[in-house]
Amino acid sequence: MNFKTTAGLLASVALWSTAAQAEETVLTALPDQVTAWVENFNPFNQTTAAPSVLHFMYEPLIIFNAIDGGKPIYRLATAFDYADDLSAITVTLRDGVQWSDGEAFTADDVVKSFDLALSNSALDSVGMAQMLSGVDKVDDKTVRFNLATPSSQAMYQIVRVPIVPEHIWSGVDDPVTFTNPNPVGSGPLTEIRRFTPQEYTQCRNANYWDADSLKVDCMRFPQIANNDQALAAAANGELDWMGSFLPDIDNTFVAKDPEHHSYWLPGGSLVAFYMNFEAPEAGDKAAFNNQNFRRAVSMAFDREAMVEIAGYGYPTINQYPSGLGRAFHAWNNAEVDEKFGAFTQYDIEAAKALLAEAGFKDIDGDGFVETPDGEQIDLEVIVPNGWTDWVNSCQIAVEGLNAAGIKANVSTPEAAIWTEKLITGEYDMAINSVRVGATPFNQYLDSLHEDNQAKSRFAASRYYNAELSELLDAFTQTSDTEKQMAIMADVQTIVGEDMPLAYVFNNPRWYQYNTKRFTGFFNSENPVANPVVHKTNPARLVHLLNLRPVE
Amino acid sequence: MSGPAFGLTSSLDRWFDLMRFLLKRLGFYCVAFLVAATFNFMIPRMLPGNPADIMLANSGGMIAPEARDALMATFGFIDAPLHEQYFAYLGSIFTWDFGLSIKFYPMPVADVLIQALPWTLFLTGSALLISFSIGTLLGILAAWRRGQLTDVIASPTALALQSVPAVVVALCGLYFLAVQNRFFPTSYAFNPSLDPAWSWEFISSVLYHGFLPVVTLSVVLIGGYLITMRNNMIGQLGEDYLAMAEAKGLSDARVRYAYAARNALLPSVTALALSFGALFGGSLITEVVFNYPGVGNLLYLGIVGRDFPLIQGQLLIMTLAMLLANLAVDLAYVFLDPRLKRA
Amino acid sequence: MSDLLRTFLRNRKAAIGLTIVLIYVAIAIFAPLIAPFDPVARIGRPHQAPSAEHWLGTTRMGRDVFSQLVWGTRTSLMVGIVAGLIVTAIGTAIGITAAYFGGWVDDILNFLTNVVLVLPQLPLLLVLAAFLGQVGPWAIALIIGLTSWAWGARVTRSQAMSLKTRDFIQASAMIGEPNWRMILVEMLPNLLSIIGFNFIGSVIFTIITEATLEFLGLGSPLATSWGTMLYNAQTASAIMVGAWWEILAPCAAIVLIGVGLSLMNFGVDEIANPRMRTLGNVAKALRIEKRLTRQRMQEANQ
Repeated sequence: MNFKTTAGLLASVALWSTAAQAEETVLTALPDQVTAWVENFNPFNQTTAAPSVLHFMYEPLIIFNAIDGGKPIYRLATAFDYADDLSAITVTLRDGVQWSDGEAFTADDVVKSFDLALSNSALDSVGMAQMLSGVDKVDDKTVRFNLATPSSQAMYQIVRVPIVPEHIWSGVDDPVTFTNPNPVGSGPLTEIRRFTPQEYTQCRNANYWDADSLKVDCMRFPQIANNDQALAAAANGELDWMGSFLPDIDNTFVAKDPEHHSYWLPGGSLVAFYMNFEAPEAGDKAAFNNQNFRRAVSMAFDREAMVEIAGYGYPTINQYPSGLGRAFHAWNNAEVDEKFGAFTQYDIEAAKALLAEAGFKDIDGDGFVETPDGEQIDLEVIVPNGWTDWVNSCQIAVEGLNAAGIKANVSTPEAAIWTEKLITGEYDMAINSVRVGATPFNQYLDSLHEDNQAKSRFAASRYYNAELSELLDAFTQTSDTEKQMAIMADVQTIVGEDMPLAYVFNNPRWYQYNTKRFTGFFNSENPVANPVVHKTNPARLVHLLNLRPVE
Repeated sequence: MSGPAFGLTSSLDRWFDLMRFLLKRLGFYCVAFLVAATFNFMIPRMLPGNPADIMLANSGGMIAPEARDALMATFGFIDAPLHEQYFAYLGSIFTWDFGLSIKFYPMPVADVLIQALPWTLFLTGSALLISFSIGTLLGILAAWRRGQLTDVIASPTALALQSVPAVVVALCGLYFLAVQNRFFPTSYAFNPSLDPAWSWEFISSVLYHGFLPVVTLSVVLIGGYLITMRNNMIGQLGEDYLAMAEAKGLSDARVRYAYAARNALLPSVTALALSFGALFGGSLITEVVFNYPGVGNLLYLGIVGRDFPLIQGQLLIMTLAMLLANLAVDLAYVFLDPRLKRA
Repeated sequence: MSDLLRTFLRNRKAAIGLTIVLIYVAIAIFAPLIAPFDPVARIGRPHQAPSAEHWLGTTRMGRDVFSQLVWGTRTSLMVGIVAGLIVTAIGTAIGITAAYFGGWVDDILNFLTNVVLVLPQLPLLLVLAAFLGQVGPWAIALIIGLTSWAWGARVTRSQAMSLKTRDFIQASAMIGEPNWRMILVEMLPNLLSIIGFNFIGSVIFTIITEATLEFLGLGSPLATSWGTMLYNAQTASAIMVGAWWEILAPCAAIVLIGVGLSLMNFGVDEIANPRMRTLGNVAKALRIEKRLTRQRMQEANQ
């Protein structure tokens, strides 16, 4: 299919590349593992669009730097202001920005982009229809977002919508199926120079507004289907910037070229065992509604083994009773650790003692406890088939539970079934993850707010706590950092004491790099922003602009 | 049911017999195809889970529930009545319109398949050619020298190879020849920085990348051909006409190849044709292990990603390939076997 | 019956094959005694190379590969035998019924068999396995058993057809023996070698297919079987990190049982069809026979 077009390009490319070879710098990146690239450059497409379309082709308004306390890095916008009642946000756009075809970037483009999302629910993956009541053009360089409900957190979501040129997209008949074959963008790399299902190259935007920062002329994206192939390519030094699970990374990758090969795996999404407060079986339900039982479960988990053995040591262990996570340690309420820290330490004997104290005992002599009312407890822990590190974590969890006298076993449905069960509540216990945001707010909102319960897989525990929900709502009603800190401290107290979820670790953000051809990569000594090259990380644009070719 | 004795039929009668036989077979294939197609239609519809959820779960992205529903609609999950879906599906084999692939959205399934088909044809074609010629030749030798060194070594080896799964051969090949020693690449059908062209550079790259997969498939197949040929050959060697030929003083080689082998070849050709049909599915594991962009790999992806249109289109094509292979065998029998008198 | 066994054992290939298979069966039966560790317990550090303590090393999860292999033998053999029984039962029933009754019964059964034969089998198995969700070894046995009988049915039918024309069968029919007696007492015993052939072949096929399905991640990752071992090794990138023992151990186990079963099948074939033999002394006998035939022919010609 693509052979014909690429063959035509071949001659011109060959000529061009010999002429410009000296100054051309090409960065090879692996943002995603797929079996074939699909020629789809629609930035609204969440599934098969090329992984370099967002951020690299379509620059965001603002990037909120999660690693730097959510500080805004202004891109297409230069400022944003909440109205005093938090009902609207006024955004000022950058002057002098051009699209890659030379047209000027204006407020019309922003309004059109949000129109597309609001009028096509298939394009509205961020959920703008619920959040916004409208988008107004104030003047050529100013846009106002009217919020459906006041919230100090709205801007974090708004910036996830891609900004596309009005003069191109107003002529598109069906923006849902549109593959955007000749992309016109505002980002650093907008020209698709070569495209085959096995490899494509995306090059510099001649009209890029921030061209001074951009030292990478092209990015090359080889198609790689699995971890083994990623490792083979990485070990060979073929990849500059990647994010894959590499087993035994120090030996298989770093040792191949210790001078250049390196990695950094900062903590990412929060992984927890969800206990269903409305579990189908009466005994399981009663057990999960017992605070001491939940604490005993948490104590039966060998988190270190999960991290070290199931996770190759890559995840970041999470022993905060509130699941806060190391990345948000600045928000930590030390009192919570002090009071409830013991419940996140692996201690089978203490777990047994706690169970006995709470009236859970083995009545029928099968070696496993029953509820104080004598009902059977038999937990099925669900985990998606194929998510190996999680499957192994679950096996470690079940070993611990059984040792503590709680009957449990692992079950591995397909990912889609797992998702469905979480949403419909037809499960006992499940390993699950929740996205972390720029502040700890998101992880609590998505998983524990009453209004979200049973609506998504992230809020699957069916835990209803009005006090907690009120605190979270209050958090969105203020933009004052002091107040936010105080609210978050209270949130931690509730979650840490009640333990609705048994937090175990933070998934790593997968990131490896090779300094042979480029320098300036982020790492623990240079932690500028989230370093990941995956399409879910807007900060990768900042990362790209920090890279410098080796002289 | 049997027709008049062979020698007595006039050529016209034989012609009618033949036609009747062929029509009967064709009729069978049509019905068989319908049954198989119905199977193919039903199975994906019974699969649990939907592609949108799987894609979203795997990409780790958050998506609003409304967007998810809208996405499903764009993937074509519109509840048309089942019989309408069914007839549209049956029609698709003539129009080649299998709908849009989900995994490669918005590419049509037919385009996705056409991209992959040449690679599988190349892989299976070469593997069949190699294993068939070597296996058959060795089979002839083993049968001729029954009990001698060739036979004693080749036959049990073939036997062992026959019971080695492709996955084992592929993994061992990968481990020893591509990872431990970097003799061969671990993936792709050719160096991805090359563009397809009739140049030596490109062709050599294709051969280089295809080597391990082709060898894997050949190793798995060769045993079967050797044993089949050997046993048929031995069957032939017992026939009187051979002893007669030998007694008449014809040379060993002439007897071996011109008489015995030719007659023994028929079942082997049958096996060859049938395995060609089956190999569309059989090369799956090899393609998966070596990240080879063929239809087997596609099917695997389709299954894992619940790409129903893709699975359906593929099963249909694979069934068609099987039927065509069977038809080819029937025709081969008509033309190669003069003794055919089934009607 | 014991005659049959004696003939079978006198065949060297069959004897070797049977020995191999019996060793596997013994391992499967005595797995709890042989395996030094619990196959799913973490008993060592991840990916330890083979040593005196862990004969075949440990997996990524720190489990003992040898113990897994031993327990896996139990699973894989059971699955093979169960699926083999299903395949043979269906195939034999359909084959004999079709051949014995002939007419429309044969037409229908034969059509059914032919349709199943032209279905692309492996892809269908994959789709079925995915359809059933996480399939344990038993489900795999059932899927394979129910989809793989067609070849056996076809072969049994053609053998039974030729058997039907034999004098003694014809005679029994004329005496008016009831159908069930005809099938069970007259036909079945005379088809034993083809049934055995079919059974052994199905066991091989099942073991290979189970390993393939599980390797592709379509089985249950919690079962202890050779296929799951391969799958776990693959997801732990055992090949890339150089933990060859984790990959090669199940590979060798599969290959060896395959060889053992094939040898048995070869033996069955040779007994049923003595011309297929390759053993040295047989070859000698054959050479003599050949020379004699040639002489006879020459004499006849003269």
